[in-house]
Amino acid sequence: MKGLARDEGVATVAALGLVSVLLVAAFVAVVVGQQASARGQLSSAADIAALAAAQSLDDPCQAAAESAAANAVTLAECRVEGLDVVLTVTRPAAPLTVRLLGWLGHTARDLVAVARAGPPD
Amino acid sequence: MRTYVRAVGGRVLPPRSPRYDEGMVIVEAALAIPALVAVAAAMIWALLVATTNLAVGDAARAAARELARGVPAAEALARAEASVPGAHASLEDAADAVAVVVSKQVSAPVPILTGMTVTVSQRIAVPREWL
Repeated sequence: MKGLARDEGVATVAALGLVSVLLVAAFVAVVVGQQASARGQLSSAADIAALAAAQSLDDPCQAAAESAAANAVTLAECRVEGLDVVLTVTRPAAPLTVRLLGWLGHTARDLVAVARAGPPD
Repeated sequence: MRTYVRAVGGRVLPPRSPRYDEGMVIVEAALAIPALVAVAAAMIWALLVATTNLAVGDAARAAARELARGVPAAEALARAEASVPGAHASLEDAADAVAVVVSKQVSAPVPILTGMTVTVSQRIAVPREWL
């Protein structure tokens, strides 16, 4: 038991180690969660913009652009394929993802979502 | 000269005795364990907030799609509330756009602190013609 004679600080060191591992894991989870949330918002916005375009009688791409703007996403591409409208919308990556990738020397790519809508067959 | 220190149990032991500081680990653990529990509780709370965030986002999206199909607003909102227990769904009528908003309060996952809540909400703007 000689090695354990002076064991003051052991519990503190163990706890600090555990807490720091937990905090790193929590930070990564928050970054991933925020990115997942941003992706979900983007694909919802793409859906709604495509539906708005499909229901627009005069100018589908104008309707899509308005809907995209209302949801704070960018309409990158709008194509009319027969009776369908195909949209590509983008938005910047979530703030923490941009920050984290920035620290690591990378640039975060914009999130992209594609949606198609048209009249029922 | 040697110093002797009163250790656990009131016995006098020399400083280099194996039992000199045996009480320290217990005292430290007594401080460290609540801190660990607090960190773990905060993490669980964050996880609950994250999953709720995705759930209310899905509900808002589903409600918006139903509005697009011509489902009455009240019915679409009621279905959104039913799909996420405890959530509140409403229409937000701003100057330029109408939005479906689904929100839910997430309480702290600790018995005595359930009064502490974080409100998670997601909104999707829809064309005014859908209402």
